[in-house]
Amino acid sequence: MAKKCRQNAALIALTTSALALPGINVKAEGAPDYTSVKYRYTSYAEDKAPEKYTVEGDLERYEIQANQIQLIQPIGERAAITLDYLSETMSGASPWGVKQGADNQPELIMSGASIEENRQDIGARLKIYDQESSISFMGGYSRENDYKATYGGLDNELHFNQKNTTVKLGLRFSLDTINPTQQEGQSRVSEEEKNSASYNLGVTQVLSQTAIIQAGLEYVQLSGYLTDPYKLQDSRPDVRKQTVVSFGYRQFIKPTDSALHLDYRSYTDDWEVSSHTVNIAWYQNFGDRHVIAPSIRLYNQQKAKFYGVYYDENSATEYFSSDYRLSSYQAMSYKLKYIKYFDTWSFTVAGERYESAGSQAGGSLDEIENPGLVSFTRWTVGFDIKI
Amino acid sequence: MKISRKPIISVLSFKAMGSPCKLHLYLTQKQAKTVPQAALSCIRALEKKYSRYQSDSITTTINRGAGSGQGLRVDSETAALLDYAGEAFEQSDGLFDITSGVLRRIWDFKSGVLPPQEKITQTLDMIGWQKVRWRKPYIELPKGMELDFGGYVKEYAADTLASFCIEKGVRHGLVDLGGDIRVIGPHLNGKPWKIGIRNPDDPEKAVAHIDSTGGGVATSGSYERCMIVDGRRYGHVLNPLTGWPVRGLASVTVQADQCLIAGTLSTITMLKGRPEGSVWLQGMGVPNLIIEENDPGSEA
Repeated sequence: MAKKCRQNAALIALTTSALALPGINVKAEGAPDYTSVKYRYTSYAEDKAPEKYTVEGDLERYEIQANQIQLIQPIGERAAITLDYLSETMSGASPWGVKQGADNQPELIMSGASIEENRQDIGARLKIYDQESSISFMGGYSRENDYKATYGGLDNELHFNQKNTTVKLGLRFSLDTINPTQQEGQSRVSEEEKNSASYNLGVTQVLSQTAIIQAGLEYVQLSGYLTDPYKLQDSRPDVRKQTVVSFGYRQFIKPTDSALHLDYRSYTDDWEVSSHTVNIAWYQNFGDRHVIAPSIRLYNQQKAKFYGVYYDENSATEYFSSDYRLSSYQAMSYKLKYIKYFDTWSFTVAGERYESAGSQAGGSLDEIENPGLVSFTRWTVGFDIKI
Repeated sequence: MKISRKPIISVLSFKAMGSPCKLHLYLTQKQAKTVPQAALSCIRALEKKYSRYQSDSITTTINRGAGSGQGLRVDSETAALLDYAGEAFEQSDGLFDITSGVLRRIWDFKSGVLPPQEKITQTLDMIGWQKVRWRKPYIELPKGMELDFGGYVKEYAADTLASFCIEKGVRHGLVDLGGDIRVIGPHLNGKPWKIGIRNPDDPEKAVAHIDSTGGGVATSGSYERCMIVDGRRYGHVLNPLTGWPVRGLASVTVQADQCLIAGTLSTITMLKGRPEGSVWLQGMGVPNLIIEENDPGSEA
């Protein structure tokens, strides 16, 4: 047995040595030399608002149908252009606020059933590849009836250490305008602006032929009108500074022809919202034509400092929100994806179920579960073609 | 819009590194215009870089500097190949030795005559990786010594060509450099490639087939060149520690992730002989096929 171990050590030693060779360990991210087209249709449906807590408005919450197309076209040998187009249709009611009912029971006020709204987003990216690096420029425009955004950015990728190490630097900005739909009986702002800038740094390290580790750091600064104009008594600071730290690990498991993806994300901001996300995915290959990938995501969030489940006129503060997205809660989602590969194209179908609930830590006022917390089901189908 | 442009098999035959070679690649029309030619230049470049017959190759440059007392700075690919040779030397207890090429000067398998033991002993003085000064990236050979990448550069070239094709978007194909094979991916219909293993007694015939959908396959054998002297067979695989042809195994085929690893394992097994080599290879846990020599006289 000892001898066998020593001999396997010989194989490992030789393989390690071989992987230092440029012809064997090729991970050059070269410019694509074919055109590719990607299409996805997504159907997203939120569960109905809880009947027993809803005192006003419509129970049917958001439904979104989205069509997404992406085209990647090589330009010469060292560059590629990516065009993205998204069109989505949204309908349904959303929570406007929560008020205090009898026995401290929260009462949910929903909006009325909305008409169908449409959002369109068009984006482009030019990526230029060099031997040991690549640079990308991107920009885009998104429009819906009450919101417009113009965005852009820059990414720089650098490869070191025979491409075993990749460092990625990115900059993003977005200039947004909000024109809330006015409604009788509600006093809403007419036009406001909101800007964001983000800086990110990512490092990917190949650990072995079968393992990769990733780490990322991102800082985002949002400024301008950050209040939700549709929510009642909503008033938020006009600056929000967000920090995200993330880690990822990818392990290919040869005997079973599968891959394990582990991801962790930590989020904090100066509104005192903090969260942890863990995502575990298993990609199982069946031959080289089928992949089945189940995954699970766990999410835990701590509320913003000015969040309250309902507005208290007696202790009104400068900032307040009863937005469920700023409350303390936990969420779990399960997803199953299937990909079938053909010679020049592949087909993808995925289903996801997401459920969230308040953090039931105690009985104090701020720990009352926000009745607006959402659960949803999402389906995606699509295909990828190489031409 | 025409959606499907199904890749079509294309076979390119050529001679490189002293062997008949074949690239079997499933290529789209677009790839077919560029990939085979580019792959050919890729192997020609490696051949030129490591050939011991070309006066401007890195091998010749290193060998020419033997005994000069000056270290020669090598590029990163050569450095990685030298590191690999050092590792293989270590793992084989000195049997895999890229300085053993000088034995070829005294063993002439066409002559039918054995070299005198005295000459073999003299030549052994010029062999031994441990005598080479390798301080990455500087290499310096003692006087009279020579390096020869021929023992593993063809396997490395098979891996390099496969990587090159994968980078160009090829997903289905096989690289065969004189029997050193690297499979890029299965046939377009997902079926594995059938790789024939030569019968050492009748090299035109296959004794067995190995199925492969990816990775390397390499064979070492003593059947390619040999001579019979006084009724005994002497194969061309020479033990760098004794200077004599190795005995016991007619051919060793190994399947591994890379052709380079497969080739190194099969060479070491061949050099270790019977039964040690067979035992050593079984311990590696890689698929293999060992054909023993059937000549009982050779087992002295």
